[in-house]
Amino acid sequence: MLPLEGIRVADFTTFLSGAGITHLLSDMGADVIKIEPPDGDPWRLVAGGFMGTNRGKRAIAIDLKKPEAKEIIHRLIATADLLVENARSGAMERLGLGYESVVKIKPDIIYISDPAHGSKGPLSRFPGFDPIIQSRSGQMMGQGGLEDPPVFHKVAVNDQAAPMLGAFGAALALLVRVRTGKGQYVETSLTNASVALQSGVFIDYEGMERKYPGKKDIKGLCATSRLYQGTDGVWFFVHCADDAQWRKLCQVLGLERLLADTRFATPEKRAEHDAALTEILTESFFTTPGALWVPILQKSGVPAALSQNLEGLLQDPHCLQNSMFLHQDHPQWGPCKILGVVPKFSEMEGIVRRPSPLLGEHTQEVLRELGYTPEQIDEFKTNKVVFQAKPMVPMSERTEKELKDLGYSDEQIARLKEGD
Amino acid sequence: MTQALSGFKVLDFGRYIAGPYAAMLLADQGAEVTKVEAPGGDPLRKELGFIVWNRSKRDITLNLKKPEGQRIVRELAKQSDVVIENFRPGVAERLGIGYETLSELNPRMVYCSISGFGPSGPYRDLPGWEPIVSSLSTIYTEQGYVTHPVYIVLPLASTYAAFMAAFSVTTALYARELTGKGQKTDVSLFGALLAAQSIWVLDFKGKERMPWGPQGVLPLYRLYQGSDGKWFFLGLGTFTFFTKFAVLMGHEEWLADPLFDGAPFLIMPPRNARVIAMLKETFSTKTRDEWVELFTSADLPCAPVRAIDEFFEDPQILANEMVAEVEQPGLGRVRQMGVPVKFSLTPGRVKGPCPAMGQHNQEVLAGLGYSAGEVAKFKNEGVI
Repeated sequence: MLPLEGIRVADFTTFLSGAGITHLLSDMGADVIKIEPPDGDPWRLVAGGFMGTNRGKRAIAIDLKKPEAKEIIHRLIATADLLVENARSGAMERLGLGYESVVKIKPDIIYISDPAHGSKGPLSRFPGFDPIIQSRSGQMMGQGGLEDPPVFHKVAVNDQAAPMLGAFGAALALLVRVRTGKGQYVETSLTNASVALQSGVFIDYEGMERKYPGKKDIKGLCATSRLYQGTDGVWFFVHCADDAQWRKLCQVLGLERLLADTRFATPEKRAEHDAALTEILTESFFTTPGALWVPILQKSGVPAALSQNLEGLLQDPHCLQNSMFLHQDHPQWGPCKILGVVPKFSEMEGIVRRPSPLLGEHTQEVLRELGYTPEQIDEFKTNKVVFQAKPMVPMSERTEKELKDLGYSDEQIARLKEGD
Repeated sequence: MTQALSGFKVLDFGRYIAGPYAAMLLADQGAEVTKVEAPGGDPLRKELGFIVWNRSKRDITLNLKKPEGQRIVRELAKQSDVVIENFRPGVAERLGIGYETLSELNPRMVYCSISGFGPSGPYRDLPGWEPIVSSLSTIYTEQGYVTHPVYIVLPLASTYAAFMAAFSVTTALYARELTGKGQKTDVSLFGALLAAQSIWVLDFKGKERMPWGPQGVLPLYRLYQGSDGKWFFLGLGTFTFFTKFAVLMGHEEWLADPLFDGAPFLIMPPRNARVIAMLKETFSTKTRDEWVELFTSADLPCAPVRAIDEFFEDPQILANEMVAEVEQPGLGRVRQMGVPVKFSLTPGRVKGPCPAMGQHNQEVLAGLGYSAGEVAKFKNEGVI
């Protein structure tokens, strides 16, 4: 059994944040049907981005402005347990798909809304993307500090937090519904997420002293918790969590003299002389390759880790041993390696049912499930109400050259041809 | 039913950030959370965030190395719907509170184990500190764009792990309604941080590899300065926004200009540098606030860069109830994060302040049927 087996999601999301919610629900076994306009989710333009947030889902393409579309969507919603959307506040209402309308179609629907700015307040109807919220919320200045320019977090921090909060909300609402029979409206937003991500510093009381540790190209918070570089140019992080580890660090580096140095006698003293200590440690580390430092430090009981790059991560023995990556044959992109399901359950398993779908790949399939006849579906297609992606030739039936063009290795081609 | 988790009991062995924060999210939704601290206390007690990550909880101290401590924790476990722990792998088992032991006492229990790197694999026993996990997850090299890593100030790994843990626990609670059985969920800081990078932790032929810089490298999606030197973010995330922008700026010719090919997201190097230089010059003609005002009134996504203390007054977060005020003993009235997920039928709320160490020893033990005399004895013997 899958944790969310039998749960159907009508997925109106676009871009990263909303799609991330349904992505997590799909990983837990929900049947997610992504509903896109004829020109698709704009996020499709970023192939990796789309793939990383839409695998496992089915996709239908439909023109919601056509009158016939309304009936199809209503029929779909009537079969759904959840509806998820991240449009600007007000946009779903204009389509006749606001919570009040949807409840009339499906009285116990769980309606998850994830707008950028939240549904209330002066900006609720304004457009917003992750960095807009990074900017407003203090996150960019938190990273760059007060003296240096603000820094754009490369990870779309709020776009990634809101899905986890939204999926948490979805699971809670499902729990309520299974116990009471009632659905409800659930909301999170990029704005809420930005507050939750800063929960440790989004604090204010009389007399509080606020610190701004961020700065340009920051390498860590202090000399004993910081990135250092070896002679091979390899960077690694060293993190002494207590005095014992600080002593071990000095021993490993042959810097026992620092233990007798009054400037570094206590954590407070070390903080006071942080620049001097950083300089000493930087010089000391820059005597041996970083690749050697990491195991030396780890064996000595000093927490340390390589500052890994993406190429390294994709071959990382820990990831491989834990099967953290999945291999898929994507109908458009060929062989792909993507991240697998993250939370693990002892009695159940997550699932990734398929690669990210093509635009309208499952239109016919879903409409048939909703009870439409092939003739009706053809008529919808002719009238440009719905759109079906051209069927892709199964990979196993393609020629060797076609497969090579898609990036398949000889070994992969052989495996495909053997029907493996 | 008033709240989604009203009547649910959570036993929180969490320390530092991820475990306590996950339990706090459940407390905000109505669960009765009992934080169990070892006699030395949660090592994070002196940190600013501690009062937030532990608000709305009851708190007991318990020495699990004493037989009476073991007896008490087992009694608590029998009554709990959820257990959360974030010790290093193997430690919970040594303390007698591992999944096997506790689920035998209470098969309906959902047991969430949070660790740095998960229960198996070569990194299992590495210390799961935030920067150690982050360093291996590639986030520092990605932020610094390969040439040199950059440390990230926000504790992203711990925070994402807390969210994932809350999600996994509630999913397992939902499944329990159908199966009648609890189970263990595993969340690692490493896995949660990779999940937050899922859009580039992948590999296929034709994958885009965007360059990066601290203020962004996509000309239509980056930080710029007004004539007063103040910063704002311009976020033209769709072609429609770019079109409106070009018209607003009086440069409709941009729409056909090959310089802007790939707008909005795929204006690739070296062209991106030319567009950025051009826009920098354009934006040096008005103050930041003038640009923000102009773009906002034209319905274009943009925002001023602000410090976090200004964010407390933001009408948006006030209207969306994201600022909670909690009377915290010793500090007075503390403004802090509100409840980040809102429910129409079962609204969450912040129940109260962060407790002192062992503040609820008496209450919790009385709930288990211990007399005042027995509690006093436990105290003398160092059990609580």
